[in-house]
Amino acid sequence: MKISKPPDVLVAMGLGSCIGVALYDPVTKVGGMLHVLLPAADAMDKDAKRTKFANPGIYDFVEAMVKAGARKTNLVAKIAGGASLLNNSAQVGQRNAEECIKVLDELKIRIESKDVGGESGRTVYFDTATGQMTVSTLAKGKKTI
Amino acid sequence: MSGNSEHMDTMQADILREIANIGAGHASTALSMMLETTIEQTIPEVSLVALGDMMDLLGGAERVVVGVSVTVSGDIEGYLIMLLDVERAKEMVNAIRNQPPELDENGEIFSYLDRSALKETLNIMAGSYLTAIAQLTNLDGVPSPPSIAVDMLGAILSQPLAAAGESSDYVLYFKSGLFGRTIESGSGSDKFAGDLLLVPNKKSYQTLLDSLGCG
Repeated sequence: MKISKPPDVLVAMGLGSCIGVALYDPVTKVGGMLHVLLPAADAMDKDAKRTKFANPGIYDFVEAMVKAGARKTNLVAKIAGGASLLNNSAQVGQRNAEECIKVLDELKIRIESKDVGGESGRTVYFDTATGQMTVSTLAKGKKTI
Repeated sequence: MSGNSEHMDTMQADILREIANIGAGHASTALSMMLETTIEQTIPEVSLVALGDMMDLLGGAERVVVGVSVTVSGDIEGYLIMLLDVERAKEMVNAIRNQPPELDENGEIFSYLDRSALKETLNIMAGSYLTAIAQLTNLDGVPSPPSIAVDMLGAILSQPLAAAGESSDYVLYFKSGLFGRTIESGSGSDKFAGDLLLVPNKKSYQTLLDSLGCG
């Protein structure tokens, strides 16, 4: 989890089944990105790192954003990732995306745009000055969401 | 090695390294027979690293690689993955099919048959690797059919890491470098072929240690 302010651009490199969740307060320009590895922390060790899970990671992420000066009611989200590269896996990517969407919905945070699923890895840039997310894949180059 | 420990003692590391050595040794022999060339392996690295550090140790999350992977189920659960730089994968295809890789109809670097050849390579190596471990430990690990992707390293490893990271913030991996003698020119210089990674889930590496009386 990284939280910052303009002019910083936050990066999550080489996302496969992982998800880059960006939260942004367009008023205060506080922006952050969380790298989600797994959906929900059912089988986790008691002292495992919470932020690798969509749940409870996103809850912690929102708290940290508020501490950094964002207003919770201003927050909007953009998410990218959740691909399935190797077909012999347990659909982690899809479950990650579903859980992220569910948690953001529970927190009443609007998802402005998303780029999830597919079979390509993504590198994700989040610009705290504009709130724009740029998604880069090997096959299709860059696009802004 | 209990709980969330990020350390393993020297004895445990030695034993795990020996398991990797024997597994990868059999796998490289299988590869060597298939390619009719000499394949040498490096001394395996056995590392227990924080999830976030693994990509850096393998060349960075954005390094473009050909990744072929099988899931392993049975007494040992996890992933066995072959990572090749794109150029090395092309050489391997050339060595197996006696013709350079072809673009497929979608403009992908490798055709269906090229991909199939690379998958079959790992299939054979995985069988040898896991059989060798089974003979040593009496633990069976059954490989799934392989799948292949050409993409960023981080993207290829994220599912195996997710599986390993489900119950731990640390991931144990066995890495063996495999070197082939120059395939086409026969000049005798070593060429880097690729890495073979075994990423057992946490439960399984405890099982591996227990089986050798070293839990």
